[in-house]
Amino acid sequence: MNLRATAFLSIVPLTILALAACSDDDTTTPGGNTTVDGGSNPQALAGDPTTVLTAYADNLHQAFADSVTDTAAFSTAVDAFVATPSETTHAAVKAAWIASRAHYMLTEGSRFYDGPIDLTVDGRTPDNYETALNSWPLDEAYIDYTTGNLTAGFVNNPASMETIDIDALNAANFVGGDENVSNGWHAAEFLIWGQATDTVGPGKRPFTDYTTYANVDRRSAYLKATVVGISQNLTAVRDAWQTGATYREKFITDKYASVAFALGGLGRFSKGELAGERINAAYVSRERRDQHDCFSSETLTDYKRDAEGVKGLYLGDYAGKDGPGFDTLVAKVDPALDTEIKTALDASIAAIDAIKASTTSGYFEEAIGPDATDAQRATVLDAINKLRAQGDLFGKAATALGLSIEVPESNP
Amino acid sequence: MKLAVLPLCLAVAAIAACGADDEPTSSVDAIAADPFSGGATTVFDTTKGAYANQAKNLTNETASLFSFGHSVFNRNWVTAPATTGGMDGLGPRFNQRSCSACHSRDGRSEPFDPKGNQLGLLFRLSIPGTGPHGGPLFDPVYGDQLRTSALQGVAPDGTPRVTYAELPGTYGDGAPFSLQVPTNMIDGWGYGAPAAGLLVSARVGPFTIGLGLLEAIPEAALAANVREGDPDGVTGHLNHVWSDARQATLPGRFGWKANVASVLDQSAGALLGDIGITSRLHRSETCTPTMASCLAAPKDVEEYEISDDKLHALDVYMRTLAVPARRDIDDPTARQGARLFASFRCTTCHVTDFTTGGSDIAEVANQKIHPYTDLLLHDMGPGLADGRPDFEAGPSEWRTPPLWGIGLLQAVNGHELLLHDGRARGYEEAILWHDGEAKASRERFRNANAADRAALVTFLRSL
Repeated sequence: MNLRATAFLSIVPLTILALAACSDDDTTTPGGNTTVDGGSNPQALAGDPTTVLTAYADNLHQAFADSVTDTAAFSTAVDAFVATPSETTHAAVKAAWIASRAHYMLTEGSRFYDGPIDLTVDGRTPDNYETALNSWPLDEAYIDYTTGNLTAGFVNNPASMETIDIDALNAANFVGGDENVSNGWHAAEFLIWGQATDTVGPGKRPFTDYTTYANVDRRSAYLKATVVGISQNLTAVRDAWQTGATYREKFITDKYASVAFALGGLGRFSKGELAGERINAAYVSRERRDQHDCFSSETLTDYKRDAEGVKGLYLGDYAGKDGPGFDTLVAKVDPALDTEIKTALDASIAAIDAIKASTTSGYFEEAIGPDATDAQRATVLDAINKLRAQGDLFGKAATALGLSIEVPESNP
Repeated sequence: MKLAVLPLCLAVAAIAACGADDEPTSSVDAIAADPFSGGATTVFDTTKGAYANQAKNLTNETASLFSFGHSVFNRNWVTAPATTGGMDGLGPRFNQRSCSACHSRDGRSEPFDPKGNQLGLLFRLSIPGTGPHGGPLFDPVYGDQLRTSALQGVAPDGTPRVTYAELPGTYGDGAPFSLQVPTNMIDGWGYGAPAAGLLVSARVGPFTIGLGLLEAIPEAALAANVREGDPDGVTGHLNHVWSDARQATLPGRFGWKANVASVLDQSAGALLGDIGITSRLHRSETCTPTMASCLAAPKDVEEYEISDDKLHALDVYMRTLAVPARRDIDDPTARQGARLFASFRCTTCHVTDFTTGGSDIAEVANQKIHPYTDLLLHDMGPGLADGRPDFEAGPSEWRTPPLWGIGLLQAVNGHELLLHDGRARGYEEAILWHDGEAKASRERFRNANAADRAALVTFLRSL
């Protein structure tokens, strides 16, 4: 019974601990404020950030407004396609889908601080705009037929969803408290391109899926409903950044608390999301379709726009508007760090270009698949490392301003 | 003989402690003043991401695996075959599509979402008797748990409901409290009636911080806390459970009944059980022989659905999530609460100090940690009993859950629903549910004055 003996001996010290605080009269009197100011005062170090935060809010408002406009053009193309499906209208709707994301990608650096794009409100549907807009991976079989199951999905099962519209899709996406991810841009992408079954290159859904194949009307209704949802959600985020909107005004008046949010968002998006979730996961898994635009193969287009968007949000630049950006604040406290950040932002964009340049197809899957060359993998790893480093630099910028933010390896 | 000596030791200790000798108080204070709950893995983060950080001492090489594992943990699995071939294979029956649905932000999702949909709560099923390797005997129709969702064309198992009845009680000072007593029901069985004598045990997914550290505590250090002749009647024992990962019977460390031996066993088990993802450890889906629609569902083309690389990354991720640091260590009320936590003998089971042994993940090896658990099974009385035997865990036994980081639950997951099935609305109710081996400690809390009770809760919130 060695074990019992050990257990017995261990009781004594524990008992002493346990009985130690017999007296409950011995309460300590609170001794005043115990929090010590670190001594840094961002306002004194770098000046009032109001104009910087205003430019940031204006630029995001404009980018979401442009995205709403882009989506209206996409909607027109969808209507034209489903009214008269042909090779030509199919090609036009593909181009319109790609164009509809161009301005949205420039906003993704505003994620990961519970700002308007991923604010969670209990009981609202959707409870998170980003999830409803851009979630991935997509459950194709919830939407339409797949190679494994020709009768799959809401499109082919009227009993599972009588009328396909945005309300029905929103409801279906939140059954069981978790998203089934059959909504948003990637649902539209799947309905336009179809499953991508080639080693390299986009899916080859024929336009005849909208003319002669089964359940044409329901497929068309599904595609139209996704566009309605995208437009509604973008509009809601746009309005939160509008002059006078509650979120925007509080964001600006919160001054350096908001600077910390914004820099944290840029860091977290660069490192945890773009470097980690979107590129490193694919680099490690070597799975060709481990990419956001797996049906259209447009992923590298997204990544470059994402990196350009982070740069623009740091500099306060958008569509010809030139600052003032966070760089003006950082330059006041640490000009060398500001220069280092600007260099890193350009290096990241160049590194994403280099991935594309290493391929003959121009597609991400060529650079990450099991047969990718060492040189191709090196370009991917370089982009990961540059984006991670860029993320850490935003953390340094916050520190230089006397703020404290975490830029972790991954975002919750 | 040894037993005869024990009361004397206790008496000496008790006299020494109460004789205005503050040395033992200082050692309680010393533990309560150490913010590094997870040793060198500890991070300082009080935001909603507080459970989601990589261990502070993580090396760059492990960081890449951590990042990949995070992605596996958070992504939704989809119906096979899909374009995203690496993430398909969901179901046929499942509870959620991702690990993070139940462990939101590596934390502990609420039992139900605001609309009443099942979220973080799971219903284990079994029937009286013993299954393979001495584990629970699964229900022959539904298996070991209720799966409330299924692929299109496949029947889900049924719809669970929990109703609560209020059970009023009174503190020693006359102040009233009320506990809610859950009743679990399952409506609309999808595959006919389950076997007679069905046992249903509702459990929420716990937060997932510090698991690699708990795994690295030497078995002998756990066994050392098993008691004989404790004045409060606390005993405690290790569970011994079958490990599919190691193909051996090992001490149970994880799960509400210490019914899982390792993080890898837990992860692979949850992948299969909760999401329907087969792995090298579990190569068959969970359809039972009478489940026609489940058996007919489309299958993934691969031999099993999660690759070995992904499972490994997930294992590394789960084992290297950092423990958040203590807060308010200089707050006098929290310090007073820490002393009360010790004097009420909560620390008998919520053991404050361990030093981890070796590990294949260097970051979690040889760390001085404060997990506030002994990982042992204790009889918690009839009120909490689920009636389910699980290897060596009896029908009313539960594993002491770790309390490190628990004070951040509100910040991370927006609620303070505690205990195995989330029945306790806050710390006070969780403590008041304690019974059986924990009855004496609970009574010390119940009979304490309101200020002391509040101080104890302040301390728990600082963990």
